[in-house]
Order: sequence, then structure tokens, then C-alpha cells
Amino acid sequence: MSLMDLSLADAADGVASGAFTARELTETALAQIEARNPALNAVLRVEADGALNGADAIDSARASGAALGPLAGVPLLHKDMFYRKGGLTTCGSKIRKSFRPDYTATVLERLAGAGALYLGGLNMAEFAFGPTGHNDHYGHCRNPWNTDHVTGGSSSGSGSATAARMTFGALGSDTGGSIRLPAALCGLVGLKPTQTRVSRYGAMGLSFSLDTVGPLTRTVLDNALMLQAIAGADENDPTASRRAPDDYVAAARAPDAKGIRIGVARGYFEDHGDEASIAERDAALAAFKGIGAELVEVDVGDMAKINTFAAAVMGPEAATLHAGWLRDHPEDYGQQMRARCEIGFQFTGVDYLSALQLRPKIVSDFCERVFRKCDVLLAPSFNIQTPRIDESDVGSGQGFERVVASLSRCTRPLNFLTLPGLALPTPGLIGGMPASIQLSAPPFAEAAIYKLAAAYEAEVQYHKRTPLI
Amino acid sequence: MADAAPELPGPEFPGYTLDPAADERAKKAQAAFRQSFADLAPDTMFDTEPQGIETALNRLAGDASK
Repeated sequence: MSLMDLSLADAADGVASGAFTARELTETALAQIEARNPALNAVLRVEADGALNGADAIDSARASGAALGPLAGVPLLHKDMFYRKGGLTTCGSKIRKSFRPDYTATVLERLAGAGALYLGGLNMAEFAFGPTGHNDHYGHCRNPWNTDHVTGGSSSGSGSATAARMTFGALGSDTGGSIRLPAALCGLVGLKPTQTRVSRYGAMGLSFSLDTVGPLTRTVLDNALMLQAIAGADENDPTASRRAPDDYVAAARAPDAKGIRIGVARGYFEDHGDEASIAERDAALAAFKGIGAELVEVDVGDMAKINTFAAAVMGPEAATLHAGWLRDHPEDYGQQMRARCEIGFQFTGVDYLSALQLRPKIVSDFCERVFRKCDVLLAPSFNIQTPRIDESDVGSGQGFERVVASLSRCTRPLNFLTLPGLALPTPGLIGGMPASIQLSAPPFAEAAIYKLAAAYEAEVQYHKRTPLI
Repeated sequence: MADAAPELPGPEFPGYTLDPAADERAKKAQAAFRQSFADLAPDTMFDTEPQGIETALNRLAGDASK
């Protein structure tokens, strides 16, 4: 067994106990990247020297008896959109291929503060605007479960590299499903936190009302460890909540499903669904029931309407950020990115503000209707079979729209609703590919989700499955 | 009489002319939103609170902790 097969938690424990050094761990990660990345195109850039120097510093600190952070010596790769002072940050784009920001993202500062090592940048959809994993500039990212298939996006490299054991976990961003989809399609645990739970300072923006930052990992505890490191108020991000983070790690270490009311989201989440995907959702429900959860039927309302609100917010915000470059360098954008941005120009100011003005009421009404009846809501993360890369590489026409709509159908509503959503693998595979459910809960209830998810993980043991690559 | 202005392929936004296909897709998205808004909005928006989502979340979080 390779050190890269360890969970993030076990890798950190191994460094802390002296079972292996941070340098050994980092060198193993580098060898794994060299061996596996050519088939996957998940890693855009490796920064070996910086990571090895950091590893040596951790090993020296341990030798001198200094206290180590909870992620000390663990090398991590991240979606290439988190700014590092002086470091390349391409945002998956041609336009920013040489961009070197002059400040560092809060989430990277916090991971470094917990002792994690920055190993490099991961492939992503151009400017995080695409749910498949296609990238016209750096090449499409491939799914380690079957390299003919998409990874999901936009955090495509985060999904592929974590599943392929090239990193112990990765940060992604989620504006309409961009953490949960690659986690779902690559068989991982992926959290879109509550809006405002994690600072976005130094994270490339796409739609500032909907953007969130969160972790993709192989286990629930790993996910909680990363969220614990990055969550909380930030003086550099006035939109970050001042509410103190809960103890997510303690919740993940105390799995319990007994008596938890799980709301089953049908209707919209089953419509246009593939039979096998719904069957996997049902298998997950049976697993939850088997460990003591109570299943209740809930009416989630018309999610299609919520999605049109999300479009009225995301479109104008993305178009606002990209208007100047679209005008001056339209040829530097990929076809799909340009097509999606252009939609935002058509909404009026009144459309945009109407959607935002009604948002608190929509969120409040949803929480009242759904979470009065259940503690956690369960739905598929996606309800179709994982598309092949060739069948979803469909330019910017109507075929592309259909792919976007069908892939992100189950994830997009949560972004407008602000709610946390955790993607988790289902008990079985479909044609050798992972399927996924997502658990949602009221704002800031990430700890409750982790506690339940950890109980499910212990029962289903999905994290013991590995892709063929 | 002056010549009629040439027909543009789509609406302009600060110096940028939209692709006609994008224009059509955008109109569909806008129409869908306006229908949803008509279905979900109260009779008047006049008395809705002009609050940011951060404020609303803090309020919901307070409710949830009771």
C-alpha cells in the first residue's frame, strides 16, 4: 500500500507520530503525480521545491518537539484559482495564464497555518464556469474511474487528483455545483459550505452572491479537518460570517444517525432521472434506515423556479466581471465560457435586483417548509449517468446547454438557497462509475451533516473502493 | 432621407455585440426568470426588506439555534 492510499487524517497522524516524515510523504505524492497525471491531466503545475522545503521545516519542528498543526506535513493540491502572493494562478484561463497576484487567499493562509503544504495548482473549467471538466486551453481533465468520462466541474482537477490519490484532498469552489459535481462523479466527499461560512478573500470570483469555497476529500473526517482549518470570520472578507465555526472534527469523529429525520426529496430531483441513479439513491436511503435514521417524505417545492433565480443572479454577476475582457479579448475565451457569460448581459438591473431582493424570503420559506419536517434533506447529487467526454464536448450550442442543465440540475438550487450541501458516494457503482447523493441542512448545520455522513460512511465503506487507474 | 441604420446582430453592451444565438438563449432565460418571479413574489415588493443575504442568514442561524 502506498502512503498516498492513506486518508488525510491518517497521513497527518503518521507525520505527527513519526511513522514517516513529511518529506517522505511529499516525495511519494510527487512520484504519484508523475505516474498518474499524464493519463488524467488533473495537475496543471507542481511546485515541488516549495513543498519539499515546507516538509523539511515540519520535520525539523517535530524533531525539536514543537507543537504541530492538525494538517502538518500533508501535501495538498488545489483548484488553480486561489491566489498566492507572487505565485502563478491561471484560473484555468488563457487570459490569466501569467497572472501572479500580490496577495494570498485566506483559505491558503489558513491551510498553511494548520501545517498543510502547497503542492501545486489543479485543472479547472475556465474561470470556474462549466460543470463538465472541459477546458479548451489546458486540455480536458479525465475521470480516474474511466478516462473516457468527464470528471464533473468546475473543480475538475480537484475531483480527479483526489480520487487518483495524487493528493489527500483539494479545495474547490462551488457556484452551481462545482465542488459537489466533481466529488460526485469521481466518488468523493465534497462540501459546499453555507454561503458566508468560508472566506472568499483571494479566491477568484465568478458570481459573488453565490460563490462558496470548500473541500473535496476521500472521507468525511478528512473533509471536516479541512473545513475546520478554513472556516470562520475574516477581516479581509466582510461577507464572511462572524458566527463561530462548530467543532466539525468532533462531529465527524462521533458518527450517529439514530433518530435523525432524513427528508426524501422527490419530484424535481427525480424528474428526468436515470433509473440506475435513482436506484442508487434508494440504496443510500436503505443504508441510512439501517443505521437508525427515520425517513420522511418532504415537499421541496418547485426547484426549477429557484434555478431561474440563480441564473438571474449568476449571469449578470459573471458578465460584470468579464465584460471588459469579453470586449477587448473575446478570442481568448473558450467557446462555452463565452456563451455562458453572454447570457448575463440580457438581464436588466430590475431583474437582477428583484432576484436578490426576494432571496431572503425564498430561503426562509424553503427552510420553514422543509426543515420543519426533517433534520437533513437527501437528494441525488446528479441523476444521470456520467457522460463521456466526447458526447459532452458539444461547443456552445443547444447541446451544450442541455449538458449544463442536466448535470447541474440537482446542485444549483442549493447555491441560491445558501444551504450547505455534502456530496457522498452511494453504496454501489453504475457501470463502474460512482453515483452520489447530497445531504443538505439549515444554514451553518455542517456539523450535523458530518455526524450523519460519518455514520453512513462507516456502514457503506465507499472510501475503500479505488478507481482502476 | 438618411439611410436606415444597419441592423446589428444583437444588442450591444459597452462596446460588445452579442452573438445572436446567445441573445436568443438570454431572452429565454430572462423570460423564465420573469415567470418564476411572477409566481413567487408577493403582490408588491414595496414592503420586502432591503436586506443582504448575510443578514438573512444570521437571522436564520439564530432561529435554528433556539
